[in-house]
Amino acid sequence: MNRLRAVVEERQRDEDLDFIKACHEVLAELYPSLHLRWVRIYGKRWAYIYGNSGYLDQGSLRIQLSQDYGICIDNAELVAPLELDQLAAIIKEHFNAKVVV
Amino acid sequence: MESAAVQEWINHVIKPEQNEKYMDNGKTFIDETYINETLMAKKQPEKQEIREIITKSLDLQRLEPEDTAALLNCTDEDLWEEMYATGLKIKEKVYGRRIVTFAPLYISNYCVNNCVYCGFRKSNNHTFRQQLTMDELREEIKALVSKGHKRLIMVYGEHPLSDVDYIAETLRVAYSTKVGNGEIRRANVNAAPESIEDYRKLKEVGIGTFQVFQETYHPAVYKKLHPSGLKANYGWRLYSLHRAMEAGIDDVGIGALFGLYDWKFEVMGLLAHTIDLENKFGGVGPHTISFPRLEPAVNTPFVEKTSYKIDDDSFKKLVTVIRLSVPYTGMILTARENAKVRQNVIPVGITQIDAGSNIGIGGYAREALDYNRQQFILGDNRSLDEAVRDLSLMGRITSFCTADYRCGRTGSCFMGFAKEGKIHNLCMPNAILTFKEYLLDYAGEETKKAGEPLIEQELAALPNPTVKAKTLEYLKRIEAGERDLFF
Repeated sequence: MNRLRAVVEERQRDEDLDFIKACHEVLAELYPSLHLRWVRIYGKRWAYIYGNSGYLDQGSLRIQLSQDYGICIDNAELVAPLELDQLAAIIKEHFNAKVVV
Repeated sequence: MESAAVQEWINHVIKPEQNEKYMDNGKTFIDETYINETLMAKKQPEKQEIREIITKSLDLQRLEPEDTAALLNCTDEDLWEEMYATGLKIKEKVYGRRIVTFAPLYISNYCVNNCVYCGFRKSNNHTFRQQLTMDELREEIKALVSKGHKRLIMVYGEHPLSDVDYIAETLRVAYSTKVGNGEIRRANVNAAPESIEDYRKLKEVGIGTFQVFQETYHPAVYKKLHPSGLKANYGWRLYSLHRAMEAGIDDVGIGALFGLYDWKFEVMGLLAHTIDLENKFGGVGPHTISFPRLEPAVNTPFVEKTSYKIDDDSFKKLVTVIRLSVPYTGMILTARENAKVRQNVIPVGITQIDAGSNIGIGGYAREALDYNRQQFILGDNRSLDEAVRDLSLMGRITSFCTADYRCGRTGSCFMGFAKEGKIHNLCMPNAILTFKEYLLDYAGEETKKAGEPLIEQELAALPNPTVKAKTLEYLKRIEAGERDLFF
């Protein structure tokens, strides 16, 4: 969890895709069996940008991270719901910080 | 002669530099000589060779042009029977026993082109011209949603009035119009080829698939049949989906209009198009392939005169060869074909059909057939409910599923799953769930009677116990009133 928080803090100025790849790397180390893919949201369309495209046995849990980005997890039951909420909240901080008021 | 304003619009739309980078040494991917020589070289394929190609298809490998040419030239009817059976096996291996169903929605028939076979051509003064206002569009969407449709292909003439900003606005309206439990969940588009900048605008509003059909891949025939307008530019159309992919629209649909030129050449053209997209976009080819057949249209004598008309038997064969050549891609059979042809061709590997279709502008809300507002004349006028019932009686479940593009299973991700034969793990449960919604909300009594046993049958056949249990749970929640549950 701390490693993910560190990524959020260290990579605030990164391009979105670089940030996403860095997060993916941390999550893959923390949960090697977790199959998740990152998406760009265009209205109803959640378009694939990075991550799992090899495993497909069950449906996806969709988590919206910001107006533009989300993640789809194909075996979300591997992580406790509370832990998943915490992970999503940390990643959301990055996107929230980018909102221009 | 084009009016100055229209010509200016055409000049503004076409950006040749956006095509040039995709050409190889200044040449397009359609090598006419190579296609003709390959067809000639495989004129008399051996039985063993055909069987080896069939095995390759069954392994979900995309065929090479030499393989496809051999299949196209097969004259042994027993081998054709084997190929028909293989088409079905491939389709069920990749997508399961479901048929995705959608409705065509014609939005505007103003057109700057003069395609000699088309009822909407500019010079056809028998056609009543209309472009839907946003209020009229809402009425069309409501009429479609009230019948149970969830997926659309929205069709536009090529004209400054239906430019990219207009198309984007109509997509917003389509997605935001709701009736009770119903809504459009995926809106695909068939429209003029756009520039990369304009494709980006369509991506932003959540487009499903963008379709552009080349009509004929033969350059000289193309030139003859498309004498003026935006469409007169063969190359701009040929690379339209390369530009769409570059803009980030990662689901694109190709097609040819069969009856304009030699059908074997056109199948080879579709394969060349697939290969070039795959080569230039990391293995991602077309999401769907369409193969409409030329149909009569009001005041369009060309259709009666063409010498390339295709009989039903050849049509079934060409569809089969496309299925075997690109085993993992969606294949669309439209209501241009009559019900009998559709019942005969669906089993060779079709994945999507339209149903309850009305292709007149404003036709759904008016509930009227009006040939003067149509691009051509439809062959299958069954209602959605009748088509769903007939499919049920054929043992095929109608799917209104739109889950893939809402779960990030698009572009290379979708193609990866499809090529490995994994996508059906979710296609079938999603088909069951959307079919259940349809039966509860829209189906007539006879259709319910035909459909309910199919749900039981397909539920029992789901191989993954976790998915089966979750599907059962979702079905109960749908019966209790929830909607839009998906994997």
